[in-house]
Amino acid sequence: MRALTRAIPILGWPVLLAALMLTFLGLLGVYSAEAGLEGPPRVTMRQVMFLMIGLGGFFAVQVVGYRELGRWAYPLFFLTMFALAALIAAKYVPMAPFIVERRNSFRWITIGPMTFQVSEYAKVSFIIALAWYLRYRTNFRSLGGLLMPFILTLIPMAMILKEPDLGTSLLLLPTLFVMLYVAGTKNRHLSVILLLGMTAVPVFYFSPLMNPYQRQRIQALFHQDETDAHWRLNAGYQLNQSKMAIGSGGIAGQGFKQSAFFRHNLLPEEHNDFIFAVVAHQWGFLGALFVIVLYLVIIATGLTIASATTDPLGRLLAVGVCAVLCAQTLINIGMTIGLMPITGMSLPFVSAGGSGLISNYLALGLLVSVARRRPIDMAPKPFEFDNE
Amino acid sequence: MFERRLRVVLTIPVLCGLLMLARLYRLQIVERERYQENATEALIGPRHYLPPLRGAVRDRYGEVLVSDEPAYDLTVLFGALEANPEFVEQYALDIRRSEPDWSEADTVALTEEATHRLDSFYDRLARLSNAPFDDLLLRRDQIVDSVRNLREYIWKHRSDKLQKSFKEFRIREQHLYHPLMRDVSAEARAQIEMALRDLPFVRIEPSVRRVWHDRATPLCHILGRIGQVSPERIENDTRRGDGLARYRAGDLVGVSGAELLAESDLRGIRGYEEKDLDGNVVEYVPPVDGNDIRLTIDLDLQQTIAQILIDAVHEDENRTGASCVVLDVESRDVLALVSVPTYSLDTFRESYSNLRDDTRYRPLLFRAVAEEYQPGSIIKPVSLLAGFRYGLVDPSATSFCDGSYKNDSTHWHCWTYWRQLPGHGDVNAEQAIQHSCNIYFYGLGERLNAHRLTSFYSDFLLGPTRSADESSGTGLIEERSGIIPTQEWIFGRRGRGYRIADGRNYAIGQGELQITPLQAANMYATLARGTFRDPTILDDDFRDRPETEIPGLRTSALNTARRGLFRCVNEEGGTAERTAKLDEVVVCGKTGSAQCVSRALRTSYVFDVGGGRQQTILAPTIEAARAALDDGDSAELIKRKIVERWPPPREKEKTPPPHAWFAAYAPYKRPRISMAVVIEHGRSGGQVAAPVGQKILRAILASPHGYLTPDDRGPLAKRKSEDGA
Repeated sequence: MRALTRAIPILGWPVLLAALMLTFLGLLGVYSAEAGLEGPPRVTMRQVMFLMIGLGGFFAVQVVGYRELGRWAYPLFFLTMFALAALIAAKYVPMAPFIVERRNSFRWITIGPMTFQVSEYAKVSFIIALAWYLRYRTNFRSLGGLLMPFILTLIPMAMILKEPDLGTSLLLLPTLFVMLYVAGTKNRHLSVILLLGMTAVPVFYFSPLMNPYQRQRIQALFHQDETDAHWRLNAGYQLNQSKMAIGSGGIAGQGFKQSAFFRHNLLPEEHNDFIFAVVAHQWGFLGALFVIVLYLVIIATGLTIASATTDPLGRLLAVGVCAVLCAQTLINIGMTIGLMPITGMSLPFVSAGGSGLISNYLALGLLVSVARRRPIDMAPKPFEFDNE
Repeated sequence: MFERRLRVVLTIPVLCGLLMLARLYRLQIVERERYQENATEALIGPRHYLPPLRGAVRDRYGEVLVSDEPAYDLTVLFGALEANPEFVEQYALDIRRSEPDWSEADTVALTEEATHRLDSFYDRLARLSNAPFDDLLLRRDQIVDSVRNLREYIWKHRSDKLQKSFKEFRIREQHLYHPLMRDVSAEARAQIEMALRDLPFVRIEPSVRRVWHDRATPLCHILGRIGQVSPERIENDTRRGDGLARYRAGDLVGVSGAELLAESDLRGIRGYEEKDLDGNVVEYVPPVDGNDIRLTIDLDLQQTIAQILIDAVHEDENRTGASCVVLDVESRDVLALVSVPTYSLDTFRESYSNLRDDTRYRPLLFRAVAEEYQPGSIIKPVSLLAGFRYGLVDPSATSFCDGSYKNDSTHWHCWTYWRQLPGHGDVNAEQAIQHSCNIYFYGLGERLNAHRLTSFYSDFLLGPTRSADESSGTGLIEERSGIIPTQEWIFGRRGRGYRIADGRNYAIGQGELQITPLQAANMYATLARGTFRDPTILDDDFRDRPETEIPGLRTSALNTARRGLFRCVNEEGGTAERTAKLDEVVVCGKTGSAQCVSRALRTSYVFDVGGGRQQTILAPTIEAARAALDDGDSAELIKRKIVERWPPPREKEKTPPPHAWFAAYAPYKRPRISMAVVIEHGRSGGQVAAPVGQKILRAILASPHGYLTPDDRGPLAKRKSEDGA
């Protein structure tokens, strides 16, 4: 116990406990959705196993330390890029049994008993690589220096999009933007980037990169309150079912394992992308509030850690982890309650799925690792520029 | 100052968190009830309709002849049967929605998959159920056609009330499940349910099947058949406004016989059931079964008579069929309505083309009501009554018969002439009927003339209040009203007025005059009772069918005719005296041998098959000929020629053997039963039909239900002694 308290700094505790509580809620949600079926709760058991592996990864990061990991930033990045490239290649060259098509996409690499969803790990390696690059201010204070962060972002983004996995690829841009902002990019540079990004949205929307059904899902968002059954039954089906599950939860919820709603699979993807609807259906508004507060605790604590550290790499890592978790949470919850279009996106720490859970705990490990290195020196704080 | 940027960054999740909470507040607290209602609704499965049992048809004494039993149908959503683009698109989306493996497939691949699953469905089903693949496709096409026809029909007849274009016009049937396979057996059902669970457009639904009971065969024509409802009937149905009671395309309704006649009683009202997804019944509206109906037919009597007739037909190879009708004189209940040959209702569908092409025996023909025969001599009492009506008969006046009638240049003969027998000599009215003397009636018919004769026949056979084209009698759709060759009819058909010969012919029941066996039996009931009433096969209150007087019919005239009929059976020299007389009961009857023509057995059909080519097919029926062609439905028939007839022509005789009639009522006093029997090409009424009639009368006497009782002879003995005195 003493070893544990020594291993985890003060600021690490709220982060870890909140994440564990979220995972626990997720386990209950998965279990309740599964309880109505015959046989043992397989998904729940697997999820517990993934949690153990995730926690193992979390402590491993503590042992190694984020600085040491930072030195491996580019090799790790290239490793994940290589894996992503293999996934794309698998579309043209059969690579069974390592890579097989599932759900019409190539996202998973199987090695022995383990299956990796590469994009989840790519998320983490992307944060490390970006933080490693941005830790020197000269690297990005000029427009030309901004090229490198964009290359680091756009290449994995394009590859993940190609799998296809629209959700994960969309996480990278906001993360990049927040990291650049915190790192101290000039405001006018940021404005240009923002402007470019804004113009890219309609271009992307009408480009062939976007599937017709993805467009329909965006349109469904704007048709969600129509009574016309066409939207409700087609592109808006998942949203409709999700809102029905959440809305019928009421204030205190339908109760744990009480609802026939999930037993009859009325909500597709309930373990994964729509786990928030399961939570909100079972525990109502209060449960949903609790989940959102837990995320706010993680992010607020994470930003406190970022602000407390004097090490630019540590701060950028902390901000990057917070940004990615925050964006993922916003998109996921947003899509279940009809504020965001539906994309395949899991809810961090809660959704079922091994790679997601493990990579999120790895990211959390980075955050806590940063918190362990509290500054003791009296040197001037970094990130202070007098020419702004 | 970049600490500030961290604080700015922190505001984003906080603001977004508040936004999400606001949204959740709206969903979970403000609009909670609406979503809870929706969720409850979403847990209710689709509505399943429950078919009612169609009413059973029973005989006079309650024995069930045909009834419904619960069964199961395999039903398929119409869109899937039609495989229209809308459905394929919908189904593709459905696959994406419900199958995670397809959740992000692109539309083209999904559409291909959906189309493939639809296409392969029939093959899978054929293998699972052992039903022939082609039959399934045929059935599918039938359903699709019938719904399309209905849609067109409704559009044509109701377009004034609808604003939408025909393209957008949808009928309910386009959203319903239709039976692709009826009466699926239990084992096949289990297999299909397991194997086709992945196809949301297929269901196994409760249904009914019509079951004919063992002894129903002698009533096959009467019971009739059920078949798919036509668009006209759906639209003109009185219950069209009621969603559950109305017909739907594909419903099985009575299309012939009693099934059609009593359709409004027999049909029920469908119910429905809604279950939640756990299988608990949420809403249940039970189906209302149809009412049973009771026929006036006595099954035992019907069966006995059918056997007698079958034996009679088998005696001579020329004979092609027979029919017998037995009526209750007062109520005109049809106690037996027999047509032979019969067929089995159970195997009707499979054997249909054989039955249809049997042009020698024509088993599908409902002879008792649908076949019109020259009545021959059995009409003579009625022509006598016509003579009385116009004051042209003196009951005691005689005509002299030497076998020939020579009033003009043509030669007319009595039946004795052809048999090389001497003439009847002097005959009065009663004797003319007793001996069936043609010469007497030639003279009578000539004096009466064809016009007065046929108008009297019309009153007597169809009822005084009816015109010839109105359907009379039982209301069976098969029933025909015979041919009474009125002046208009002759003019329309022959393009000329009456000739003198017509009166002579009609007076002896020849020429164009034709009646059905039912009309013959009813004619004798009218003779027995003196008033007309429609016959019925449905057990009803006979007082609802009014008894009408026949204009100009006097009791004294009737009695003369009745005495003639009495003498025909009971006194020496009567044509039925040796063959139809019964010791137990006094029968009044008349024989008839009606000249007729032979019928086509095989015909040579010449078709224009397109491209200037012609094809000649030798077949019993046009349907069989078309079936033998490659593209039979569109080929145009150019000409036909009968190549073989039945009965086959013989050297000695110019005409085929005549139809043999015997019509009678009994007992003489207080008549209770009338009957008519006809044996096609039986040759002689007296020698063939009368013995058969005697057997039938014996069967009626033997019936435990007492239609005729032996002590009915009592009044006759009294009457004879009175006469003697």
